[in-house]
Amino acid sequence: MKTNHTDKDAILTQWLNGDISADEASKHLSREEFLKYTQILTEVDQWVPDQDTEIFDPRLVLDSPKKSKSKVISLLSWKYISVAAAIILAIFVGQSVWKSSLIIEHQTAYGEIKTVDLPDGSSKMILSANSIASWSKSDWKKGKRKITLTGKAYFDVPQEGEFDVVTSEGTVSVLGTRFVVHQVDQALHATCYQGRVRATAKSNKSIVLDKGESSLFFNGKWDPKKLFDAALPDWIKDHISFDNTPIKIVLSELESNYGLSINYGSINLARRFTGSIPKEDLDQALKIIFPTLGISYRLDGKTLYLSE
Amino acid sequence: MNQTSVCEEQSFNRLHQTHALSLRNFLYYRFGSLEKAKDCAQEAFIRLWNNCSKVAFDKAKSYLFTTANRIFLDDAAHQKVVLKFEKRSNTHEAQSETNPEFLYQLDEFQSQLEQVVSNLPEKQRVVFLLSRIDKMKHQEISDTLGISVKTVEKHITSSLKYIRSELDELNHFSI
Repeated sequence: MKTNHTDKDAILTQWLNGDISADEASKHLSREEFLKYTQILTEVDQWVPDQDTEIFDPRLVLDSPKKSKSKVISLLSWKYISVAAAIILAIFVGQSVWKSSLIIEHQTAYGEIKTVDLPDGSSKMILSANSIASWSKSDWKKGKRKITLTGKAYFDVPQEGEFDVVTSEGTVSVLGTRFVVHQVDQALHATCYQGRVRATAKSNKSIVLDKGESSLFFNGKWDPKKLFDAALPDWIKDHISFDNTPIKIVLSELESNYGLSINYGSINLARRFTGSIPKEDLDQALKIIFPTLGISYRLDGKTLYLSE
Repeated sequence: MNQTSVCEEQSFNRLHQTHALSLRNFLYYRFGSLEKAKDCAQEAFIRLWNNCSKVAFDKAKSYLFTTANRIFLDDAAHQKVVLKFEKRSNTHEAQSETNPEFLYQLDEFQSQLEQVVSNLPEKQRVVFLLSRIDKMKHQEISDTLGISVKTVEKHITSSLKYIRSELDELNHFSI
Protein backbone atom coordinates (compact mmCIF):
# COMPACT_ATOMS: atom_id res chain seq x y z
CA MET A 1 0.00 0.00 0.00
CA LYS A 2 2.76 2.35 1.00
CA THR A 3 4.85 1.66 -2.07
CA ASN A 4 1.78 2.15 -4.19
CA HIS A 5 1.47 5.66 -2.76
CA THR A 6 5.04 6.70 -3.40
CA ASP A 7 4.81 5.26 -6.89
CA LYS A 8 1.82 7.36 -7.60
CA ASP A 9 3.59 10.41 -6.23
CA ALA A 10 6.53 9.77 -8.50
CA ILE A 11 4.22 9.47 -11.49
CA LEU A 12 2.44 12.64 -10.47
CA THR A 13 5.73 14.48 -10.07
CA GLN A 14 7.02 13.41 -13.44
CA TRP A 15 3.78 14.31 -15.09
CA LEU A 16 3.71 17.74 -13.46
CA ASN A 17 7.26 18.48 -14.53
CA GLY A 18 6.43 17.48 -18.08
CA ASP A 19 8.79 14.49 -17.97
CA ILE A 20 6.03 12.12 -19.00
CA SER A 21 2.96 12.80 -21.06
CA ALA A 22 -0.57 13.00 -19.72
CA ASP A 23 -1.37 9.78 -21.56
CA GLU A 24 1.44 8.00 -19.81
CA ALA A 25 0.35 9.37 -16.45
CA SER A 26 -3.26 8.36 -16.99
CA LYS A 27 -2.21 4.70 -17.23
CA HIS A 28 -0.90 4.76 -13.69
CA LEU A 29 -3.65 6.73 -12.04
CA SER A 30 -7.28 5.85 -11.56
CA ARG A 31 -9.61 7.38 -14.10
CA GLU A 32 -11.37 9.54 -11.56
CA GLU A 33 -8.14 10.81 -10.04
CA PHE A 34 -6.71 11.60 -13.41
CA LEU A 35 -9.78 13.50 -14.59
CA LYS A 36 -9.95 15.55 -11.43
CA TYR A 37 -6.29 16.46 -11.58
CA THR A 38 -6.63 17.34 -15.23
CA GLN A 39 -9.57 19.57 -14.50
CA ILE A 40 -7.68 21.42 -11.77
CA LEU A 41 -4.55 21.79 -13.85
CA THR A 42 -6.33 22.90 -17.01
CA GLU A 43 -8.03 25.62 -15.03
CA VAL A 44 -4.95 26.78 -13.13
CA ASP A 45 -2.84 26.71 -16.27
CA GLN A 46 -5.08 29.33 -17.78
CA TRP A 47 -4.64 31.75 -14.94
CA VAL A 48 -2.53 34.86 -14.94
CA PRO A 49 -2.45 37.47 -12.17
CA ASP A 50 -3.27 40.09 -14.78
CA GLN A 51 -2.98 40.60 -18.50
CA ASP A 52 -0.37 43.28 -18.08
CA THR A 53 2.89 41.78 -19.23
CA GLU A 54 5.05 44.81 -18.65
CA ILE A 55 5.68 45.06 -14.93
CA PHE A 56 7.58 48.32 -15.06
CA ASP A 57 9.84 50.14 -17.41
CA PRO A 58 13.47 49.12 -16.89
CA ARG A 59 14.52 52.63 -17.76
CA LEU A 60 12.91 53.79 -14.52
CA VAL A 61 15.47 51.72 -12.70
CA LEU A 62 18.38 52.57 -14.96
CA ASP A 63 17.64 56.26 -14.64
CA SER A 64 17.22 56.21 -10.90
CA PRO A 65 20.15 57.90 -9.16
CA LYS A 66 22.93 55.49 -8.41
CA LYS A 67 24.30 55.39 -4.90
CA SER A 68 27.12 52.94 -5.46
CA LYS A 69 30.63 54.31 -5.15
CA SER A 70 32.41 51.18 -6.26
CA LYS A 71 32.70 52.27 -9.86
CA VAL A 72 34.57 55.53 -10.02
CA ILE A 73 34.28 55.89 -13.75
CA SER A 74 30.58 55.51 -13.84
CA LEU A 75 30.16 57.98 -11.00
CA LEU A 76 32.31 60.53 -12.78
CA SER A 77 30.51 60.15 -16.03
CA TRP A 78 27.22 60.46 -14.21
CA LYS A 79 28.44 63.71 -12.77
CA TYR A 80 29.48 65.02 -16.16
CA ILE A 81 26.24 63.94 -17.71
CA SER A 82 24.17 65.61 -15.04
CA VAL A 83 26.16 68.83 -15.25
CA ALA A 84 25.85 68.83 -19.02
CA ALA A 85 22.16 68.04 -18.75
CA ALA A 86 21.67 70.91 -16.31
CA ILE A 87 23.38 73.36 -18.66
CA ILE A 88 21.44 72.20 -21.69
CA LEU A 89 18.22 72.35 -19.72
CA ALA A 90 19.01 75.88 -18.57
CA ILE A 91 19.69 76.95 -22.14
CA PHE A 92 16.50 75.37 -23.40
CA VAL A 93 14.33 76.80 -20.64
CA GLY A 94 15.91 80.21 -21.03
CA GLN A 95 15.51 80.14 -24.76
CA SER A 96 11.92 79.04 -24.71
CA VAL A 97 10.99 81.59 -22.04
CA TRP A 98 12.71 84.30 -24.06
CA LYS A 99 11.18 83.10 -27.30
CA SER A 100 7.67 82.63 -25.94
CA SER A 101 7.46 86.34 -25.12
CA LEU A 102 8.04 87.04 -28.80
CA ILE A 103 5.75 84.37 -30.20
CA ILE A 104 2.09 84.99 -30.80
CA GLU A 105 -0.12 81.97 -30.87
CA HIS A 106 -3.77 81.56 -31.83
CA GLN A 107 -5.68 78.41 -31.21
CA THR A 108 -9.25 77.34 -31.95
CA ALA A 109 -11.36 74.81 -30.09
CA TYR A 110 -13.48 72.10 -31.71
CA GLY A 111 -16.07 73.69 -33.97
CA GLU A 112 -14.69 77.20 -33.45
CA ILE A 113 -13.60 79.59 -36.21
CA LYS A 114 -11.51 82.64 -35.54
CA THR A 115 -10.57 85.59 -37.70
CA VAL A 116 -7.14 87.02 -36.96
CA ASP A 117 -5.58 90.20 -38.31
CA LEU A 118 -1.94 89.66 -39.07
CA PRO A 119 0.71 92.16 -37.93
CA ASP A 120 1.50 93.57 -41.38
CA GLY A 121 -1.77 95.47 -41.04
CA SER A 122 -3.49 94.26 -44.17
CA SER A 123 -3.36 90.48 -44.18
CA LYS A 124 -6.05 88.40 -42.59
CA MET A 125 -6.23 84.79 -41.49
CA ILE A 126 -9.37 82.74 -40.78
CA LEU A 127 -8.39 79.87 -38.55
CA SER A 128 -10.54 76.75 -38.88
CA ALA A 129 -11.64 74.50 -36.04
CA ASN A 130 -9.08 72.71 -33.87
CA SER A 131 -6.08 74.44 -35.42
CA ILE A 132 -3.09 76.32 -34.10
CA ALA A 133 -1.24 79.14 -35.84
CA SER A 134 1.73 81.01 -34.48
CA TRP A 135 4.31 83.51 -35.61
CA SER A 136 7.33 85.27 -34.23
CA LYS A 137 7.12 89.04 -33.77
CA SER A 138 10.73 89.57 -34.74
CA ASP A 139 10.33 87.78 -38.07
CA TRP A 140 7.47 90.04 -39.03
CA LYS A 141 9.36 93.18 -37.94
CA LYS A 142 12.13 92.19 -40.30
CA GLY A 143 9.54 91.93 -43.05
CA LYS A 144 9.62 88.17 -43.09
CA ARG A 145 6.00 87.09 -43.02
CA LYS A 146 6.01 83.55 -41.74
CA ILE A 147 3.28 81.58 -39.98
CA THR A 148 3.52 78.12 -38.49
CA LEU A 149 0.30 76.20 -38.85
CA THR A 150 -1.14 73.00 -37.48
CA GLY A 151 -4.56 72.32 -38.93
CA LYS A 152 -6.33 74.51 -41.44
CA ALA A 153 -6.60 78.20 -42.21
CA TYR A 154 -7.67 80.59 -44.94
CA PHE A 155 -5.31 83.44 -45.76
CA ASP A 156 -6.05 86.73 -47.41
CA VAL A 157 -2.81 88.46 -48.28
CA PRO A 158 -3.39 91.57 -50.38
CA GLN A 159 0.12 92.92 -50.14
CA GLU A 160 2.85 91.72 -52.43
CA GLY A 161 5.93 90.19 -50.91
CA GLU A 162 7.12 87.10 -49.17
CA PHE A 163 4.53 85.20 -47.15
CA ASP A 164 5.12 81.64 -45.94
CA VAL A 165 2.87 79.19 -44.16
CA VAL A 166 4.96 76.46 -42.60
CA THR A 167 3.40 73.15 -41.58
CA SER A 168 4.83 69.87 -40.47
CA GLU A 169 4.10 68.46 -43.93
CA GLY A 170 5.48 71.27 -46.03
CA THR A 171 5.37 74.98 -46.79
CA VAL A 172 3.04 77.10 -48.86
CA SER A 173 4.47 80.37 -50.14
CA VAL A 174 2.44 83.13 -51.49
CA LEU A 175 3.12 84.99 -54.54
CA GLY A 176 0.32 87.70 -53.33
CA THR A 177 -3.16 86.50 -52.67
CA ARG A 178 -5.92 84.50 -50.94
CA PHE A 179 -5.52 80.82 -50.19
CA VAL A 180 -6.21 77.94 -47.79
CA VAL A 181 -3.67 75.66 -46.20
CA HIS A 182 -4.85 72.46 -44.60
CA GLN A 183 -2.40 70.18 -42.88
CA VAL A 184 -3.38 66.77 -41.50
CA ASP A 185 -1.13 63.89 -40.53
CA GLN A 186 0.91 63.00 -43.60
CA ALA A 187 -1.14 65.23 -45.88
CA LEU A 188 -1.18 68.83 -47.01
CA HIS A 189 -3.96 70.46 -48.95
CA ALA A 190 -3.47 73.84 -50.58
CA THR A 191 -6.21 75.77 -52.28
CA CYS A 192 -5.73 79.05 -54.09
CA TYR A 193 -8.61 81.55 -54.30
CA GLN A 194 -6.77 84.44 -55.90
CA GLY A 195 -3.34 85.16 -57.24
CA ARG A 196 -0.81 82.43 -57.08
CA VAL A 197 0.84 80.23 -54.45
CA ARG A 198 3.65 77.75 -54.37
CA ALA A 199 3.25 74.72 -52.13
CA THR A 200 6.33 72.75 -51.19
CA ALA A 201 6.00 69.44 -49.37
CA LYS A 202 8.51 68.20 -46.83
CA SER A 203 10.15 66.10 -49.48
CA ASN A 204 10.85 69.27 -51.46
CA LYS A 205 8.37 68.46 -54.18
CA SER A 206 6.54 71.64 -55.05
CA ILE A 207 3.59 72.73 -57.11
CA VAL A 208 2.38 76.16 -58.21
CA LEU A 209 -1.34 76.85 -57.95
CA ASP A 210 -3.20 79.58 -59.77
CA LYS A 211 -6.57 81.07 -58.94
CA GLY A 212 -9.25 78.40 -58.65
CA GLU A 213 -6.82 75.54 -58.38
CA SER A 214 -6.20 73.17 -55.50
CA SER A 215 -4.00 70.19 -54.90
CA LEU A 216 -3.51 67.59 -52.27
CA PHE A 217 -0.17 66.19 -51.19
CA PHE A 218 -0.75 62.64 -50.02
CA ASN A 219 1.32 59.45 -50.02
CA GLY A 220 4.42 61.28 -51.16
CA LYS A 221 3.08 63.08 -54.20
CA TRP A 222 0.89 65.95 -55.31
CA ASP A 223 -2.43 64.98 -56.84
CA PRO A 224 -3.19 66.57 -60.18
CA LYS A 225 -4.47 70.14 -59.84
CA LYS A 226 -8.18 70.48 -59.47
CA LEU A 227 -10.41 73.37 -60.45
CA PHE A 228 -13.12 74.65 -58.14
CA ASP A 229 -15.48 77.56 -57.76
CA ALA A 230 -13.23 80.23 -56.33
CA ALA A 231 -15.68 81.90 -53.97
CA LEU A 232 -15.05 81.62 -50.23
CA PRO A 233 -14.23 78.14 -48.90
CA ASP A 234 -17.20 76.10 -47.69
CA TRP A 235 -16.01 75.66 -44.16
CA ILE A 236 -16.24 79.39 -43.62
CA LYS A 237 -19.88 79.01 -44.63
CA ASP A 238 -21.97 76.25 -43.09
CA HIS A 239 -21.01 73.25 -45.16
CA ILE A 240 -17.79 71.41 -45.61
CA SER A 241 -17.33 69.80 -48.96
CA PHE A 242 -14.90 67.20 -50.13
CA ASP A 243 -13.85 66.37 -53.61
CA ASN A 244 -12.29 62.97 -53.97
CA THR A 245 -10.64 63.49 -50.59
CA PRO A 246 -8.89 60.71 -48.65
CA ILE A 247 -11.20 59.57 -45.90
CA LYS A 248 -8.48 60.21 -43.36
CA ILE A 249 -8.82 63.93 -44.02
CA VAL A 250 -12.60 63.73 -43.98
CA LEU A 251 -12.44 62.09 -40.56
CA SER A 252 -10.00 64.61 -39.17
CA GLU A 253 -12.37 67.34 -40.37
CA LEU A 254 -15.20 65.60 -38.53
CA GLU A 255 -13.05 65.39 -35.43
CA SER A 256 -12.12 69.02 -35.38
CA ASN A 257 -15.53 70.32 -36.31
CA TYR A 258 -17.66 68.24 -33.96
CA GLY A 259 -15.08 67.58 -31.24
CA LEU A 260 -15.25 63.83 -31.76
CA SER A 261 -12.67 61.25 -31.02
CA ILE A 262 -12.63 58.54 -33.64
CA ASN A 263 -11.82 54.89 -33.19
CA TYR A 264 -10.75 53.86 -36.69
CA GLY A 265 -11.08 50.12 -36.21
CA SER A 266 -9.67 48.41 -39.25
CA ILE A 267 -11.12 50.58 -41.97
CA ASN A 268 -9.09 51.47 -45.01
CA LEU A 269 -8.10 55.13 -44.62
CA ALA A 270 -6.88 55.60 -48.16
CA ARG A 271 -10.35 55.45 -49.68
CA ARG A 272 -11.76 58.71 -51.00
CA PHE A 273 -14.96 60.59 -50.45
CA THR A 274 -16.78 63.17 -52.52
CA GLY A 275 -19.64 65.14 -51.05
CA SER A 276 -20.64 67.94 -48.77
CA ILE A 277 -21.57 67.71 -45.10
CA PRO A 278 -23.31 70.21 -42.81
CA LYS A 279 -21.32 71.79 -40.00
CA GLU A 280 -24.11 71.90 -37.45
CA ASP A 281 -25.76 68.51 -37.82
CA LEU A 282 -23.56 65.62 -36.82
CA ASP A 283 -26.23 63.01 -37.29
CA GLN A 284 -26.81 64.01 -40.86
CA ALA A 285 -23.10 64.37 -41.55
CA LEU A 286 -22.48 60.80 -40.44
CA LYS A 287 -25.39 59.56 -42.55
CA ILE A 288 -23.96 61.28 -45.58
CA ILE A 289 -20.42 59.99 -45.25
CA PHE A 290 -20.47 56.41 -44.04
CA PRO A 291 -23.25 54.50 -45.79
CA THR A 292 -21.90 55.55 -49.18
CA LEU A 293 -18.51 54.13 -48.28
CA GLY A 294 -19.97 50.92 -46.87
CA ILE A 295 -18.62 51.69 -43.42
CA SER A 296 -20.80 51.11 -40.39
CA TYR A 297 -20.50 53.44 -37.44
CA ARG A 298 -21.64 53.74 -33.87
CA LEU A 299 -21.64 56.94 -31.89
CA ASP A 300 -21.09 56.61 -28.16
CA GLY A 301 -21.05 60.01 -26.50
CA LYS A 302 -18.22 61.84 -28.23
CA THR A 303 -16.51 58.72 -29.52
CA LEU A 304 -17.20 57.38 -32.96
CA TYR A 305 -16.51 53.71 -33.62
CA LEU A 306 -16.00 52.61 -37.19
CA SER A 307 -15.97 49.20 -38.82
CA GLU A 308 -16.24 47.82 -42.31
CA MET B 1 36.74 39.27 -15.95
CA ASN B 2 35.07 37.94 -19.06
CA GLN B 3 31.87 37.35 -17.11
CA THR B 4 28.81 39.37 -17.94
CA SER B 5 28.44 42.23 -15.52
CA VAL B 6 25.08 43.28 -14.14
CA CYS B 7 26.25 46.87 -14.42
CA GLU B 8 25.96 46.84 -18.18
CA GLU B 9 22.68 48.26 -19.28
CA GLN B 10 22.18 45.51 -21.80
CA SER B 11 22.57 42.67 -19.37
CA PHE B 12 20.43 44.50 -16.87
CA ASN B 13 17.69 44.84 -19.45
CA ARG B 14 17.98 41.15 -20.14
CA LEU B 15 17.54 40.36 -16.47
CA HIS B 16 14.51 42.60 -16.41
CA GLN B 17 13.04 40.89 -19.41
CA THR B 18 13.47 37.37 -18.09
CA HIS B 19 12.71 37.85 -14.43
CA ALA B 20 10.45 40.84 -13.85
CA LEU B 21 7.23 38.99 -14.56
CA SER B 22 8.00 35.86 -12.57
CA LEU B 23 9.35 37.97 -9.72
CA ARG B 24 6.15 39.97 -9.60
CA ASN B 25 4.11 36.76 -9.80
CA PHE B 26 6.13 35.12 -7.05
CA LEU B 27 5.41 38.03 -4.74
CA TYR B 28 1.77 37.94 -5.71
CA TYR B 29 1.41 34.21 -5.01
CA ARG B 30 3.10 34.70 -1.73
CA PHE B 31 1.34 37.79 -0.43
CA GLY B 32 -1.74 38.25 -2.55
CA SER B 33 -1.44 41.94 -3.42
CA LEU B 34 -0.79 42.75 -7.05
CA GLU B 35 0.08 46.42 -6.57
CA LYS B 36 2.48 45.73 -3.72
CA ALA B 37 4.03 42.89 -5.68
CA LYS B 38 4.69 45.23 -8.57
CA ASP B 39 6.26 47.92 -6.39
CA CYS B 40 8.47 45.47 -4.55
CA ALA B 41 9.62 43.87 -7.78
CA GLN B 42 10.65 47.27 -9.06
CA GLU B 43 12.37 48.16 -5.80
CA ALA B 44 14.31 44.88 -5.93
CA PHE B 45 15.56 45.76 -9.40
CA ILE B 46 16.61 49.19 -8.18
CA ARG B 47 18.62 47.62 -5.38
CA LEU B 48 20.19 45.20 -7.81
CA TRP B 49 21.20 48.09 -10.06
CA ASN B 50 22.65 50.04 -7.15
CA ASN B 51 24.67 47.04 -6.05
CA CYS B 52 25.40 45.72 -9.50
CA SER B 53 29.13 45.50 -8.98
CA LYS B 54 28.69 43.25 -5.95
CA VAL B 55 26.36 40.74 -7.56
CA ALA B 56 27.53 38.17 -10.08
CA PHE B 57 25.37 37.83 -13.14
CA ASP B 58 24.33 34.24 -12.49
CA LYS B 59 23.48 35.08 -8.89
CA ALA B 60 21.31 38.00 -9.92
CA LYS B 61 18.12 35.98 -10.08
CA SER B 62 18.26 34.65 -6.55
CA TYR B 63 19.43 38.07 -5.37
CA LEU B 64 16.28 39.56 -6.89
CA PHE B 65 13.96 37.01 -5.33
CA THR B 66 15.53 37.21 -1.88
CA THR B 67 15.65 40.98 -1.89
CA ALA B 68 12.10 41.40 -3.14
CA ASN B 69 10.91 38.96 -0.52
CA ARG B 70 12.66 40.90 2.21
CA ILE B 71 11.35 44.22 0.98
CA PHE B 72 7.87 42.86 1.04
CA LEU B 73 8.25 41.44 4.54
CA ASP B 74 9.67 44.72 5.83
CA ASP B 75 6.85 46.56 4.28
CA ALA B 76 3.70 44.61 4.84
CA ALA B 77 2.01 43.06 7.78
CA HIS B 78 1.17 39.54 6.83
CA GLN B 79 -2.46 39.39 5.90
CA LYS B 80 -4.74 36.66 4.79
CA VAL B 81 -3.96 35.94 1.20
CA VAL B 82 -6.76 36.31 -1.29
CA LEU B 83 -5.72 35.52 -4.82
CA LYS B 84 -7.67 36.61 -7.82
CA PHE B 85 -6.73 35.57 -11.31
CA GLU B 86 -7.65 36.47 -14.81
CA LYS B 87 -7.83 34.01 -17.63
CA ARG B 88 -5.23 34.10 -20.32
CA SER B 89 -6.85 35.92 -23.15
CA ASN B 90 -5.64 33.69 -25.94
CA THR B 91 -6.97 30.40 -24.67
CA HIS B 92 -9.22 28.51 -27.01
CA GLU B 93 -12.77 29.50 -26.27
CA ALA B 94 -14.01 26.56 -24.27
CA GLN B 95 -16.90 24.36 -25.30
CA SER B 96 -20.37 25.77 -25.84
CA GLU B 97 -19.70 29.21 -24.39
CA THR B 98 -23.35 29.99 -24.95
CA ASN B 99 -24.72 27.51 -22.45
CA PRO B 100 -25.32 29.63 -19.35
CA GLU B 101 -25.39 26.72 -16.97
CA PHE B 102 -22.06 25.50 -18.20
CA LEU B 103 -20.63 29.00 -17.90
CA TYR B 104 -21.97 29.32 -14.41
CA GLN B 105 -20.46 26.03 -13.34
CA LEU B 106 -17.15 27.01 -14.82
CA ASP B 107 -17.21 30.32 -13.01
CA GLU B 108 -18.14 28.64 -9.79
CA PHE B 109 -15.36 26.13 -10.23
CA GLN B 110 -12.82 28.86 -10.86
CA SER B 111 -13.75 30.87 -7.79
CA GLN B 112 -13.76 27.77 -5.57
CA LEU B 113 -10.42 26.79 -6.96
CA GLU B 114 -9.03 30.26 -6.38
CA GLN B 115 -10.15 30.11 -2.81
CA VAL B 116 -8.65 26.70 -2.20
CA VAL B 117 -5.37 27.80 -3.76
CA SER B 118 -5.35 30.90 -1.56
CA ASN B 119 -5.75 28.65 1.45
CA LEU B 120 -2.80 26.44 0.58
CA PRO B 121 0.15 26.73 2.96
CA GLU B 122 2.28 29.61 1.72
CA LYS B 123 5.32 27.68 0.48
CA GLN B 124 3.25 25.07 -1.30
CA ARG B 125 1.16 27.74 -2.95
CA VAL B 126 4.16 29.69 -4.23
CA VAL B 127 5.89 26.63 -5.63
CA PHE B 128 2.72 25.20 -7.14
CA LEU B 129 1.81 28.44 -8.95
CA LEU B 130 5.34 29.11 -10.14
CA SER B 131 5.25 25.68 -11.67
CA ARG B 132 1.81 25.96 -13.25
CA ILE B 133 1.39 29.61 -14.18
CA ASP B 134 4.99 30.61 -14.80
CA LYS B 135 5.77 27.19 -16.27
CA MET B 136 9.01 26.90 -14.34
CA LYS B 137 10.72 23.53 -14.22
CA HIS B 138 11.23 21.94 -10.82
CA GLN B 139 14.96 22.55 -11.10
CA GLU B 140 14.43 26.22 -11.87
CA ILE B 141 12.16 26.69 -8.87
CA SER B 142 14.71 24.99 -6.69
CA ASP B 143 17.43 27.37 -7.93
CA THR B 144 15.27 30.42 -7.60
CA LEU B 145 14.00 29.81 -4.10
CA GLY B 146 17.08 28.05 -2.80
CA ILE B 147 15.28 24.86 -1.77
CA SER B 148 15.96 21.30 -2.90
CA VAL B 149 14.30 19.76 -5.92
CA LYS B 150 12.83 17.08 -3.66
CA THR B 151 11.10 19.75 -1.60
CA VAL B 152 9.79 21.43 -4.72
CA GLU B 153 8.31 18.16 -5.95
CA LYS B 154 6.81 17.46 -2.59
CA HIS B 155 5.20 20.88 -2.40
CA ILE B 156 3.69 20.52 -5.84
CA THR B 157 2.23 17.05 -5.40
CA SER B 158 0.87 17.85 -1.96
CA SER B 159 -0.70 21.02 -3.34
CA LEU B 160 -2.45 19.15 -6.07
CA LYS B 161 -3.68 16.48 -3.70
CA TYR B 162 -4.84 19.04 -1.19
CA ILE B 163 -6.74 20.99 -3.84
CA ARG B 164 -8.39 17.83 -5.05
CA SER B 165 -9.50 16.74 -1.59
CA GLU B 166 -10.86 20.20 -0.79
CA LEU B 167 -12.83 20.34 -4.00
CA ASP B 168 -14.04 16.80 -3.40
CA GLU B 169 -15.46 17.96 -0.12
CA LEU B 170 -17.20 20.83 -1.79
CA ASN B 171 -18.31 18.39 -4.42
CA HIS B 172 -17.19 20.62 -7.18
CA PHE B 173 -15.98 18.52 -10.00
CA SER B 174 -17.96 18.39 -13.16
CA ILE B 175 -17.12 14.82 -14.01
